[in-house]
Amino acid sequence: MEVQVKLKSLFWRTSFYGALTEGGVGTLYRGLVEAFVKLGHKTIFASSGPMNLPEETDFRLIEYSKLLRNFPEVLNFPYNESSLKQMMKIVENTQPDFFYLHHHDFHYGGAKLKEKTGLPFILHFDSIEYWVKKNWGKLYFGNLLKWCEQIEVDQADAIIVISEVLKKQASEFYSIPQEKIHVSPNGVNVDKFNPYIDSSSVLKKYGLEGKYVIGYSGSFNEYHGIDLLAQAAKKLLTEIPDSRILMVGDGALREKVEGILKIDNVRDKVIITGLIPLNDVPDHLAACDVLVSPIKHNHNDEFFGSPIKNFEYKAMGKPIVATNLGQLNTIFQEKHNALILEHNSFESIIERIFELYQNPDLSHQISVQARKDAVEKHSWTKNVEKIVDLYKIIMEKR
Amino acid sequence: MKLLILLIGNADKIIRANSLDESDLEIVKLDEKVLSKPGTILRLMKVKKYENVYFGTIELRFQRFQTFMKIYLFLAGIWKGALLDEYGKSNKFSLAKFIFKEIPLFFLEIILSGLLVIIYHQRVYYLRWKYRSN
Repeated sequence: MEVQVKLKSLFWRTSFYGALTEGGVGTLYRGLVEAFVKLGHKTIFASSGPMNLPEETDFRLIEYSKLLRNFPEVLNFPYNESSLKQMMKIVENTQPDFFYLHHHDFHYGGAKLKEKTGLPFILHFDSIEYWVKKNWGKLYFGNLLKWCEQIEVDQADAIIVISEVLKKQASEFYSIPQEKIHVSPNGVNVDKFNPYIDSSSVLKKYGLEGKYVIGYSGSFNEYHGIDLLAQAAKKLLTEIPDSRILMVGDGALREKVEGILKIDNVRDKVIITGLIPLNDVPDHLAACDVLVSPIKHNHNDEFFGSPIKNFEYKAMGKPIVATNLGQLNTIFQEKHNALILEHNSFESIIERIFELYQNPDLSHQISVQARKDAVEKHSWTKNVEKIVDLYKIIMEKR
Repeated sequence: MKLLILLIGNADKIIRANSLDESDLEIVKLDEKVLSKPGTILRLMKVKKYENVYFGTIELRFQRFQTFMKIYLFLAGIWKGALLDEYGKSNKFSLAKFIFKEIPLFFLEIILSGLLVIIYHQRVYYLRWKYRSN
């Protein structure tokens, strides 16, 4: 009989994210920590800002310098050293079995903490930051950024990436041995996100009772394709009687999205909630009749992400229209658990939603399968089991 | 007329926590990244004759770029502005504080940042070499 290992894990989040507790990385961490707790492990969480975590978590705040707050790249440099000192004290006081670090630009503290404490080091790597800065932001101190990333990936005992595409890209970019990189797409809390949630309060709040609600949740960022849904809005709202669109989230494209809706004269039929607490997301998704995920490729490179919304949608047991780029083709299959969208096509969003609107049987069939998949394959507990297995492998090698 | 530039957080909470009068308050949602575009911010602040401009956020303690916001208030000539959060904390614009404290600190930050860039280039280059050669 296999002995169940109960671990004490130390999570470390180093990025400067202000006081924002909701959204991508926050959701990832909450999901992982909840699953750790559910499986009987203990967690200590060190972070640069507040986090929305289960109350069982031993939370430690390690703030950035108050003096350096105006130049985003530079403030990371001294944080490597100041946070390392505090992390060493935390390790000394709590004696964790390993530490789990979410990779962040200009950070090399993981390598130093491993060197100083000897703790197994698992690195969560959800993008090559050099690539992200170059393609989505502004790249300053490119060599420095690459050196920091190289140090972290070299020194990590194991690297978790969110897709096979990213595994290939990271392996090539930083010459990382393939066997060191382990793919673990994001997941969902299937207890919180479920098909049995009462949505009446959300329907009432936004005046959606009796309407056909087309929903989206997630970042208003380039690759999420929210602008495509905005472009599709006019025709959808005209062709589907009594329909409304519910957009849950916020981000850089919000202004653009609102602009499209105003020009098309449909702003009054589209609700944009802005950021809402993670605990309120399931109620909002429950209020929808169909959910949309029009993910786009990253410029000229293949899509490497693993959007959490896709798993949340599936766990809600709602009909989904989605693109299946990159490894998303393992998440969504045509008429099995979703209707597949053409890449970068708002016309496709219109066609596929209309198809579902006209075919309730098909909607029901793909919804049931989506929920089944979520429970069997995409629960955060699967990710935690993988982390525990990795820990065992690392310890066996030592 | 007053303007609330909402960087992040909940406008209602900020309004309530800081007892703002909603009747003549215009709210504009802006991504924090837009703070790196002075033209956009200054145009927005000057589009109407605002007597007060506020920048709203979740919690000031964790908010970056506060000096840049003060510089925009100064350049727009709106010397009654403030940075506000959901907990009722505020960082008000004061000309004396701006000239004698915040601007000198900002120059200190620029100098320190320049030094840090040089130091960390050497340090990270060394660390990379050290770890690679082990």
